[in-house]
Formats: sequence, C-alpha cells, structure tokens
Amino acid sequence: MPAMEIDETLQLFLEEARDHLRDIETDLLAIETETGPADVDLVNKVFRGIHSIKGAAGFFGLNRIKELSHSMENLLNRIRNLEVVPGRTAIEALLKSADVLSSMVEDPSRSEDVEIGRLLELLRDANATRSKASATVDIPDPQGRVIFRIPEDDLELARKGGKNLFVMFFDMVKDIDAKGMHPLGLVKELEKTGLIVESRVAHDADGNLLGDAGFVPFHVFYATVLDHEMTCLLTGLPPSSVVAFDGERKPVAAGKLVAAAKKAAPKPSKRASQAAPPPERKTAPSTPVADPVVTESDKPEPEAIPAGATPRGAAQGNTSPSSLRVNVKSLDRLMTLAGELVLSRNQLVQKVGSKNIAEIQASSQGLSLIISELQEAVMSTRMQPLSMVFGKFQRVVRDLAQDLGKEIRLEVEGEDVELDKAVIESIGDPLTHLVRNAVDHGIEMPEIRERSGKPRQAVVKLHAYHEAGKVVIDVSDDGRGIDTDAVREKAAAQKLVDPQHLANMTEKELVNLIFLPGFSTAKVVTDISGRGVGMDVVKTNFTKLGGVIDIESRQGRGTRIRVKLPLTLAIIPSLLVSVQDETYAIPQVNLVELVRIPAKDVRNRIERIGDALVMRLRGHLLPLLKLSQVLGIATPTFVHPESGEQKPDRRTRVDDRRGPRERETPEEKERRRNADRRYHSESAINIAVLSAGTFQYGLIVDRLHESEEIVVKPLGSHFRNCSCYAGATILGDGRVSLILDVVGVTRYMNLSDVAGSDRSRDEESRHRQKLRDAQSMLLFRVAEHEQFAVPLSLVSRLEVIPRASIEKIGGRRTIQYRGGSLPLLELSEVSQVHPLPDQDEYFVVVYAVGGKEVGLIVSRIVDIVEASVEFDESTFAQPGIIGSTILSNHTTLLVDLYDVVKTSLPGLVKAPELDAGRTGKVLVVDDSPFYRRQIAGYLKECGLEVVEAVNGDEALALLETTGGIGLVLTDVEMPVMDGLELTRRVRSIESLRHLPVVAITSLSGEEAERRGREAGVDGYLVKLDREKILAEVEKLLLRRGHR
Amino acid sequence: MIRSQSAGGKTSVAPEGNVGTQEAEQLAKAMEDAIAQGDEVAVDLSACQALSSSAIGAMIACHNALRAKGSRLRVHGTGEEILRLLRIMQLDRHFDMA
Repeated sequence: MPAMEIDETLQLFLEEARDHLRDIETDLLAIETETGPADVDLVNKVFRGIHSIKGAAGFFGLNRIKELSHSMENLLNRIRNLEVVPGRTAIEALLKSADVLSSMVEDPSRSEDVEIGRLLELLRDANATRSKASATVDIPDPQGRVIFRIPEDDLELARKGGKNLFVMFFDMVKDIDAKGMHPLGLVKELEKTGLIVESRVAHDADGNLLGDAGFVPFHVFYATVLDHEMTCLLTGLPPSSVVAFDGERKPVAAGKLVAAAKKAAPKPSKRASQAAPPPERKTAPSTPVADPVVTESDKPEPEAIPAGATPRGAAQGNTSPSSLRVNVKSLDRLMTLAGELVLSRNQLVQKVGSKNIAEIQASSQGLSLIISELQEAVMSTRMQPLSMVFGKFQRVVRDLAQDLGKEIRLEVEGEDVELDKAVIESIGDPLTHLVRNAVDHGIEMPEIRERSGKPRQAVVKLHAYHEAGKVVIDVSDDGRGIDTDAVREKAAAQKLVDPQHLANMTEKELVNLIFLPGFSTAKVVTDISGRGVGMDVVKTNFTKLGGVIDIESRQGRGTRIRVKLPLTLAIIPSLLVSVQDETYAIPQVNLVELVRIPAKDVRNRIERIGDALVMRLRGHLLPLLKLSQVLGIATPTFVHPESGEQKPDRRTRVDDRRGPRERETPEEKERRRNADRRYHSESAINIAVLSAGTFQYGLIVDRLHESEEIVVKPLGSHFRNCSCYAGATILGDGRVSLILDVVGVTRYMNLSDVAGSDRSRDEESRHRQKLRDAQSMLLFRVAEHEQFAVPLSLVSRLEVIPRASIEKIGGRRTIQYRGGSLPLLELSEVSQVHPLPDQDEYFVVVYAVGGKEVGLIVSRIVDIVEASVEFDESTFAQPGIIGSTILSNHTTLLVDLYDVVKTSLPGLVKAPELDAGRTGKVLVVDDSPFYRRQIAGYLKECGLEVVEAVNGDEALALLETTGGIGLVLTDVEMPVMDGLELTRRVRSIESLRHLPVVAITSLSGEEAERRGREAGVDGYLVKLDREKILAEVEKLLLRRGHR
Repeated sequence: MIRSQSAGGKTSVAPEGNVGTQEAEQLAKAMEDAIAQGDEVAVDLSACQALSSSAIGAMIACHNALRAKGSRLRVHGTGEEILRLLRIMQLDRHFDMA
C-alpha cells in the first residue's frame, strides 16, 4: 500500500464516515430491541450510511473498508427486505464489523492490514439464517379479537412506499346503505387510494339475524397513503371505526393510545409474546430527544434548514448534523467584531446622551460599518463554493468509467456558486449518487453508443447556477435515458404502485417512480450504484434541505436531473421597483439590465405581435410584461409629471399611447394639445430586463428605485399558490415588500411556451455550433463605410506606412520593404468597392502567395474578432470577395486574398495541375456548406473531382460506397462524428488504412494539432488557406500516385 | 323485483336489477318464507346488477338460519362484479357458490 496522502477529499470522506458510524451503534441496538418486523426507516438509515462508506472507500482504493462495508450492506439489505430477522447473531456481527470499520476509518493508512476474514464469516453466517417464510401476523380488532391472519410478506408489501395501515370497521347497514353507498362502490373507492390487504364480512358476528335489518360488520385491513383523518373522510366512518395498525401486535386508535394499550391485551402472537414493546415506540425517535421547548431554546441557532423541513428531520432521528466545523480564524474575527460592536454601542449610547447630532452620526456610521463586516463574516463562515463538492467528481467519474470500461468526460460548470455550508455538506452524498447513477446506469458502453450514432465518449455534466434566488444544480448525461417500460414493469413486479394507476401514468410520472424506496431498474446489482438505494435516499436528502428534485429523461438521448436548492440564510441584493404605491424586490441575480424608453421612442421600440408586447433590443425581440397586469391591478394610475397628482391611466396599450378617443371631452382634447404629457420625460417607460432561466423578458414597472440587500423571509403557507412571489422582506423604512419570483411570473403569465423555449434552445445550440467554427478575423476598412475581413491566420504581418514611401513603378505601387520591394495591391483594383481615401498613413496587410509576399493597402484596421464564419456567398460575391456576413454589427465583406493576387498579379499564382483520373477523387467533409464549397472550389480549379459529406458518419458511408477516393479533407468539429473520430475509423479499416487524411480546421494551436496527429491525420491545415491546402493536397496525391 | 319459485323442497329466489334496501326486505321475506317451509334456498343472481348492504345482510341472515339446519345458502348466476364483491367480503367461502 503506497503512503497514504491525506488530501482534502479524503479528509472529507473520513469525516463523513465518522459521522455515519457515530450513530450506527445506537441504531443497531434499537433495531435489535424491536420485536416486530424491523423498522424499515432505521434499517434504511444504517444501510445508507454503510453504503456511502462503501462507495467512497471504493474510489479511494481502501479495499478492506470496502469489502467489509459491502458485506455489512448485504446483510442489512436482507434485513431490510425482511429476509433475515435482525436477531442476536445478525446484530452482533454488524456491531463487531462497525467497531472494526470505525478503527479502520480512524487510521486509513493501516486499514489494508486489518484482518477481516472472521468478520466476513460472521456476516455470512448471519446472512444465512432465514426468517420463516410462512410467518403470519395476527390483526386484531379493538376488542382484541383476531380478525385477520396475514402472511408477513403481504404485510410488508402493503407497508412499502410508506403506506399507513388501518383496520376499518363498517356496519354495512349503518355505514354503507344508510349513507346511500353501494358496497361495490365503496370497495372501488378504497382501491383507488390504497390496497385492500384483507377484508371480510363477519358473517357469524351476531348469530342469526333473520328478519332483523340490524348489524352486519364488514372488516377491511387497508393500506393507504392517506392519513387517519383522510381515511375517515374517504370512508365516511367515525374515527373510532378506523384503527391504525402500527406494525405491532396491537392496533392503536388515534387519540386513544393509552386506553387502547391498557385495555386491548391482544391475543399474543408468536413474536409479540417475547417482549411487549411500549406502544409509543413509533412516535419516539430512536435516540432520546429532550422536551421540544428546551430544544428550541437550547440550540443557539438551528441548522439553516428551512422551517418546513425541520420537523421531519427531527422525527427521523438525529440525521441532520447539529454542529458545524468553523475555521478558528473566522471565529476569532467574529469575536473581534463582536467586541468592536460593543464598544461602538457604548460610544453611541454616550453620544446620544450628549445630543450632539454630528457625533451621533459619526458613531452610527462606524456602527453600520461594523455591522456590515459582521454580517459578512457570519455569512462567510457558512458560505462555501460548490467546488468543495464538485471537486471530487472528476476522479469519481474517471475511476468509475475505467472500472466499467466506459469513455466519459465530466464537464463542470458553476463550481464557484456558493451555498451555505450546511447545504454543501449535505449534498455531497446525494450528488455522488446522482453522478454514479449517471455513469453506471445512464451511460452506455462505447460500442453501443457508436452503434446508435453517438460519440464514443459520453458527457456527464454538472452545472450549477442561480435562478430566482435558488441554486440549481443540473446533473445530466447523454446516455440511454430512462426506459419507462422497464420502470413500469419493475414497479408492477415489485408492486410498488397499484397496477391500475400504473397504466394511466404519464411518461414523466413513470420516470419519477424511480424515487420510490427499493426501486432500481438496473438489471445487475453492482457495487457501484447499489441495489435500489440511491434515488429515494437522494430525494429524501434533498427534500430535507428544502430542495426540489426533478427528472427529465428522453429515451436514447439522456437524462437530466435538476435539483433546486434554496440559498439558506438568504440575504440577497435586490433591485426595488414599484407599481403605484407598492414596492417590490427583484433579485439581482435575475436582473440583466435596465432599459428606459423615452416617451417619443415608445412607438418605434415597442411593438405588438398578436397579443404579446415585444421590444426591440439590439436586434432581438424581447417579450414584455406589465407588472401592473401581472399583479392584476384593475385600474392602473399614473402620476402626472407636472402636478404630481395620481390619475387613472386610460391607456390600454403600451405601444399605443392614445387613450380611447371617443370618451374624450372637448376640454380634454384642448388640454392635451397644449401640454402633451406623452412627451414629458416622466412618461418614459421603465423596463427591467430579467433572465428567467432559458430566456429573457422585460418587465414594465412604474418606477425603478435603488438596489438594497434584503433579507428573504418565507411567505406564509397561505401564499403557497402565489407563484409570482418568492418571498417577502422588510425594507429600510419598515415597510413590507414582496419579492418577485422572476420565473414564477412567466409561468403565471404563460410567457414561456414550449415552442419558445424549444426555439431558444435551438438558437443556443446553433450559437454553440457557430462558436466552434470560430476563427479570428481581421477587420479593416478601405473607404470608411465599407468593412472587410480576412482570416487572421492568412496574414503574415501588419505594417504602417507613410504615403510618401509608396513608389509607383510601371503602373504598380510598391514599397521598399525588408531589403526588397513589396508589391502593394488595392482592393478597388479588383473588386467593385470604394477606392482608398487620401491619407498620410496607410496600413498594409502583408500576406504570402506562391512564396512571395504582397501587401494589401487599407485605410484603417478596425479590430480582430473571434467570429463564426458562415458567409452569404450570393449577395456580394464578385472577384476578390468571397461573400458577406455581419461582424461587429456591420455588413462585412470577406476578402479572397488569393483571388486579389490572381487578378492583379497573375504571374505570382501557380495552381497545381492535377489529373483526377490518376490521383483519384477528393472527399471533402465539413458541416458548414460555406467551407465545403470553398474547399471544393479550390480543388475543382485544379482539375480534381470532389465528393462532399457533412459529417464523419456520412463520410465513412461514402468511403465504403464510392470507389476511387484518393484523399480525405476533413473539418475537425462536426456533429454526429467529428473529424478526429473519422480519422481513427479510417485508420482502423484495413482497406483504408493508407488513405491520406488532412484535417482542415479553424482550431489552430499546438494542442489541437497534437490531438490531430494522435488520431492519425497526415496534415493539419487552417481553413481558407488555399495555397497551403492545395500544396498539401498535391503532395499527398502525388505521393500516393507514385506508390 | 324478486321472483321466487318453489318446487320439490327447493326454493329459488331471483332478485332482479338493483337490489336496494326495499328490495332487500322483499328478498329477506321470500327467503324467510322458504326456510319456514323447510325448503333448501338458492339465490339466482343472474338478473341482479347490484347488491346493497341490506341485501347482503339478508343473504347472510338466511345463510346463518340455514346453517343451523345443517344446510347452506346456494348462490348462483353471479356476475363478475358481484362475485368480486362476495370474494372481498369472503362470503364466497361460506355460501355454496355454484
């Protein structure tokens, strides 16, 4: 074992492991003292802990820890599935193992030497003891009479999915007939919301009732997700007739707990007779918890977990950490600041007494400074970047991929997004699960990916960003997606969902079934993602943090799991805006920019398309919403710019500033003519441009105010359905202000339709596609209003020359340059463009053609831009010009440097003459039609025959079907199959192995070239460098011809 | 509506349609009469669409009365739905299901 380096990640794991192990002993003992079937929640908790330890140990190479925890996990799994009774042997084995595991975790460097063989044997032995398959559970009625005897397996099945069990007691005449119900109708109703485990009519209950309409009892043992109250509502039964069955031998009526426990004295069944457990076991957590009142005041500041989530956490035992590790330095700083705070207060108190306003102001300033610092310090102790969590995933993915023989790249974005420390610490495990799941289940083997036309290398993406004051973490992969049919089958087989319900489920609902406990679609249980732990644990963990988890999956395309986490302790910078008298806060994270449209421009800038208002913003259409409309303000008002009065706004349309004329009185008309407020500066329209995730929109507000740091207060639950608000805050002046939920508003107003977002996504992918083909372009001008561009890669140098140095010899301009003469060309000599203006100085773009340098005179160098070059070849094409595009907001002509020389100095240009019959055809592969045509053009000029393909896949197909191809010129970045992959494929096919392949790319640089060479290309050339391309083509074709 | 046929010490009672509370009383009466005659009783449910609780109660009562004489209530002609109901109530284990 190599010397163990205790790095940060390992340290994190060890701390986590210690946390997991700390509670294990008590939990195991609690499991053992139970007499009924094992408490699934508790077993699950232990199981998860051990499972996490196993997973992390695996990737740190701590094999002994992994082995031991794996065996423990196996046993726990069987206990959880009720296949093994958690008796003395099992618990003993688990406890001993946990002890050893703890010591191993304490000293990981020596863990490999620990002897665990005996423990493994103990665990195996415990594993072999089976519970009796035929065990039954007696279900008594409140009087203690056994009314049902149910196989334990059935009971467990019913209990799966957190179902509540009730013994219900119907008087068929009173509870069914008299209420106008039908027995069958009732049964159907019950089956809709639960499972009738067992039911019967106690036909002999009251003997012979002939002639008496009286008493026919009908007992139902019912498993449902409904609680006691809801079940009573559903059945119309009085609460006393619906008795909760708590998994013990005795049913306990709600509210009659003690009475029932005393009175019931149930018929003892096999296991209950061993020890009568206290009836309140279920409600008490496994570890003692103090009186709730004491707990409140005892904890100085509870964990920053949203209020709604806390009770759950408490009920589940002490799983959420109650202490926090804080850097001692931060603590010292806090202490110092607290000291200063006290000093400042003393000063202030003193000065308030002196009534010296100036001095009071000074100390209040000092105080506010200290408070700001204190706030920052407190926040900083809690906020940590996601890189803490994301950091370890590179290795997780890499190692895992290697183990599984998969090729996977992990892309991480947004690792500097900060979250509360408590959140950061708690999301490690569930995120690891998600990533592992993606790698293990989501991503296919490379061969399978290839067969379905995907690149061999899969991508798993972690992307974190802020949205609407929350942090969103996306875990996505481009794997096989979730097979909804498999989910359906599995759910049916495991009876997790009622089959009828299952049949009616939508795809989305089906996908979300994987969050049910015990669910796993993987056919093989691996030690990587486990056996159905995972998604339910993941969900519980995130929910505990107040988070929301959602899956989107497209079969064959991939899966995206989106986790939304609240920024706890949220103090967020916000912009305050107002409509009428109310002030609202907009989180700064959503704010893109502020636009103010002067009254006179409104008509030009704001338009109406159908029913929607849009604004033109730098060439894009931005949808607009009026906040007053969003909030449903029926009678908008405006403040008159001169009088300051508030008057009703009669304008119905923002884009048209006229009110309904017919209602206007002659006096009003007159007044309007005199001082038309439409042109007053106060009538300008204020728009906050907001980002709502995938798209942006503008929100029209009455006034824009300052920005302020606000403390987010959650809205009461009665506002839960108001999707427009994310919370509330108290402003500096003491008023309450609502925080707008920027995304919620769009949902409320139906602004994001599917088509829109699809379009924006398309737009985005096109944009990315373009960026990949980006090239550096040199922008220059000859006459001031015409912009030109040349690929920077073709330019040798730029020179500045004084006009005086230009010589004119034989009708040709040259300059003396580096000991020779440099012929100067002007674009207007070749193309129909405006001539060079008179200037004292010119710029010369120096480039080489046919081994000789020439210079193109221009008046001004504008810029060098990274641009995707997709040129329009038709509109402006002419000699010397390839085509046009828009660069830096100007129509720009792309200059064909080669053509310029060819036209003005034909002697310089030597195009190789090639014989297509001898050399074979050339295959040009490029996804951009522009480049494809350009390159094909060069080749055709030399007399070559050209075949074209748009991606590697198509190229391969062409190579198979078309004979006589002697050379491949391929772009590197292409969809479906890129150029490097194409090269590798060509190299792997015996008949094509010697075919020359040249990569032609806009990606230059050594790294790119090295990768090209590795893939096996013969040449690596830059796009549009016609000369080099042709030279290389000639060289390779001739070489081949000679062979 | 209840049809009742009696022949050779056997009475067949056939409730029709939706056997509500009122019909249940008639059903009980018909079965009571048959038992009083000392007949075997069979219920033909082939024309019955739905059974109310009272009807089921009546059948149980009749069954219990017959059982005291060492006999069982015969039930036949049950449709799928009604059979399901009887099974859920576990009455199929007690009645003589044809």
